[in-house]
Amino acid sequence: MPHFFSNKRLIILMVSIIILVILVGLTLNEREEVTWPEQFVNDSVGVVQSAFQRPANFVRGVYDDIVNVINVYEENERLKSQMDDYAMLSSEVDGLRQENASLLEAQEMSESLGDYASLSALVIERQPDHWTETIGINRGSQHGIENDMAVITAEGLIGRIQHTGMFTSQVQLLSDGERMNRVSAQVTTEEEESVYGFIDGWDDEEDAFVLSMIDAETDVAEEQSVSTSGLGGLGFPADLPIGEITAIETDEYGLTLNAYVEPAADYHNIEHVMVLDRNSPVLEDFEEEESDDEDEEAVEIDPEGSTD
Amino acid sequence: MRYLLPVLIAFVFLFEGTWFQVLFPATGEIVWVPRFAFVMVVFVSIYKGAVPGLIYGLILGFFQDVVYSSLLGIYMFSFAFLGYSGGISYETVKNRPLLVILIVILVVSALEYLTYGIYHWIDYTSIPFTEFVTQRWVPSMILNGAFAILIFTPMRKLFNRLQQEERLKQV
Repeated sequence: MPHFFSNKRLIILMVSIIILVILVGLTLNEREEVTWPEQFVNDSVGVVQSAFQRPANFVRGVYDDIVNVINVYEENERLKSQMDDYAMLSSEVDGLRQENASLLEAQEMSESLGDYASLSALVIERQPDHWTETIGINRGSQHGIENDMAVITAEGLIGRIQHTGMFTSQVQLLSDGERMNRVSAQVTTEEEESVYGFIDGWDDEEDAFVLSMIDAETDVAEEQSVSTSGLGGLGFPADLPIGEITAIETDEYGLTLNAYVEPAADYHNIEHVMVLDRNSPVLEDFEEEESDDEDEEAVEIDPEGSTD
Repeated sequence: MRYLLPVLIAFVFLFEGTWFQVLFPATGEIVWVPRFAFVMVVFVSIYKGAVPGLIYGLILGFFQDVVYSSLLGIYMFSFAFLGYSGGISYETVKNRPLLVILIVILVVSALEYLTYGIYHWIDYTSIPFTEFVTQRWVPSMILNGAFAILIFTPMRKLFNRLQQEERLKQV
């Protein structure tokens, strides 16, 4: 490449490196809102992406079905053994629910940290490079989604809304490396009081979340479950499962404990998510969409029509 | 015909984030990063020259940045820069499949190292270098190399067709 390092080209290279540094510096920190050109690109690409994603999900579904059929015998045996516990658990839950309701009434409290409304969404894209761990979903500010809402799958918490467009939003997964990405969590222990800490990002060496700032006096142990506490600035509802503790160590100063938490949700294969809003009692017609898939299709195609 | 190339690249770009992620998701041990659209940009850069490669890389990088993350600039810079550097368009190279594949693999590897370097530098990731090599670089290189081999013949045919068309127009 003899032509490469001529003077003019070198200057252009320098200038573009400077622009790179400036752009990265400006966008690295948490932004309240992305600029409108970005929103526009995200929305219009998102429409095409959701059209792309559907057949992909279908193919995946067929594959999973085949695998399921192969495993059906084993799974049946396992489920049967779990069913025995189920009847007891459900009656216990009913009892507790009633007790909780009457206690809340007695206290004249109508809200709790665990209340939320939810909206289901389809994952339409995922960052292919897996450096920044983000996914896109086909719901945006038009559907009532705002920044910092919690995003869960059936298994547990996976992340938060990073920014929204009109019809799409971007979800930052908990495994993303950004510093702002901290969630207040609690560990359910044998004691009465639960133990609090922060989910402090993903540890690449242990392949687990780091739960930091745990009080050293508490009896945190392995295999205890970790869930959100409902405290802290992000406004997540309480008691969303995050994972299970696999190892514990004292932190670098020896004052608090760090625990490694194996995530409950599968972060590699996410298809459907739910967005939770603690503030509003009802997010837009969630019931309707849950009831039947055809309906969901109709709702999602609608925004495409209105943008054209 | 003229719009076929951009449309193809756009299609492959969307494929990376949707179909690929659903059907071949990364696991905890192996993170293969599909750079299919960028591989096509390198082809453009070899067969049409470094400057078209730069322009294609710039536009593709812009979309990669905006659509998939809120961190701007990383791919715009690296796609454009490496798209330009990949433009070794001598006739001897164009007619030798092995050389073309080699260039593609080299440029894609350079891209992996460059993005790793940038993300490491801004403190976004803490993966040690050895783990990066085994976990990301080797699988990505094999994946994208295989893709390059797969599309080599159709791409060459496409570029020949495009060249003929341009010549016809000039006459």
